[in-house]
Amino acid sequence: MVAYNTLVPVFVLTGFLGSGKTTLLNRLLHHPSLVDAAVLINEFGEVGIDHQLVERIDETTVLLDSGCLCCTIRGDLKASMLELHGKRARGLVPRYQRMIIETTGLADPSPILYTLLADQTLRHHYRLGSLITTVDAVNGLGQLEREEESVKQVAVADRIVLTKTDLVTEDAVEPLRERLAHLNPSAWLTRAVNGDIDAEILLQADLYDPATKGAEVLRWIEAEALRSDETGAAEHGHDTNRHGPDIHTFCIVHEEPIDWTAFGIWLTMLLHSHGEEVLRVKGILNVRGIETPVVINGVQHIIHPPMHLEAWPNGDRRSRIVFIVRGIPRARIVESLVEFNCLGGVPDAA
Amino acid sequence: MCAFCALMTGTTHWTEAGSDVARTGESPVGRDRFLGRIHRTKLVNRVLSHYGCSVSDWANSSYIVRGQRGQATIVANLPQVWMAAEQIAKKVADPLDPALLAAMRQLPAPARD
Repeated sequence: MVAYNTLVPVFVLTGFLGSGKTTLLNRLLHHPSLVDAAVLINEFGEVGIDHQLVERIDETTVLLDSGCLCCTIRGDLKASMLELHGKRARGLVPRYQRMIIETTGLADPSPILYTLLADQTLRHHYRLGSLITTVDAVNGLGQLEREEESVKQVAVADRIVLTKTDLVTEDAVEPLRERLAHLNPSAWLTRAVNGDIDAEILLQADLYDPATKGAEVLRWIEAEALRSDETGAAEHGHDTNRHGPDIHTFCIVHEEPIDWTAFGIWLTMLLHSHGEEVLRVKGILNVRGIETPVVINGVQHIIHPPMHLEAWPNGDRRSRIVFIVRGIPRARIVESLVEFNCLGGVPDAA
Repeated sequence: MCAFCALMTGTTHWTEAGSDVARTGESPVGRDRFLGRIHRTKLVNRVLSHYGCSVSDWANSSYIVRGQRGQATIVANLPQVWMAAEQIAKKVADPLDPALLAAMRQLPAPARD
């Protein structure tokens, strides 16, 4: 088996039309520590990219049996990534240490994630780093109101970059910032002016980097705790954040240790029947029988390989799972999780 | 690929990473893998009983989902188990379904492994 930390991390850069993806990408690629990045882009836009290793991908998709759009293999993406890997191995291109994929503005990033995680060949060469979403400070609020894809791009993000903040007043930015923080509270939210940003944090720290994964999980937990303090709701069963008629974010805090086998049965069944409504699920689990936490992270039907942390980030050993869902009441998910967790019985009570 | 049945076997599904496996990041092997799959099929059968289906392990690499009228489908992992069960039972396999949860509450306590 290939060691996970030897795989090339892939960062997916998405964002609505005109939100500043290419400007950000150009700045990132000029950062001294990122010159060893390969870049795949869906289309060459008006902003040119000045980088030695840029390849274009053309969209061809293979819809799988499930019929769900997120479970789609991007054949073009796979071919481009494998071709680049082959050239890298033969020394025909520089030995890049990371890859950045820039999506089209209207893209649902889920098929890209699915391709990376599900393809048997790709997963031996690449791993997912972070999903970065740019949001335009001028038009972002309106896009989130009107455009389903824009909401989804924010909901699945690990990093959200607010762009064009120099074009609006601070007072105008605040409602958007609050909206983003509520829509995806555990994403790292930052700003870029003309693409200027801390590239180290954006592209080098990620959940699957052994050196940074503990800090990343701690950030999720602290974001959720802060939101709980503000609303007093996460512990008491309310749907704390509503985004329009049906998208909401909540955290389940589970006191009892999780039965890992039963949890896998429950989550696969939940994502099978409601995967298109579960935009994001991630959490830290106290798994029955082991001392240290297990981290889960998923987008729609797609679950990353579970990851183990060497220690609990802040001493709180309860399981905490954050959901961003469309139209599913929190209470129904909690009731179901509790019931399934008893599927194999409770050893201590037996 | 299995040389006998010509089944393509993929890499380990995330659900098959047991709690210890989550620590090492490696797939379970040998006896641990076998015992994990047996335990998993036992728990899945408690759910599938509501749909009139059952599942069994096949060759430590696949599952066979069966209906009460002899229908059988070979699948690779849990998501495919739910798809097969739905096709056989003609019902949506939904863990939020109150009828399923009520039925699970009526199940006898599971036998210890």
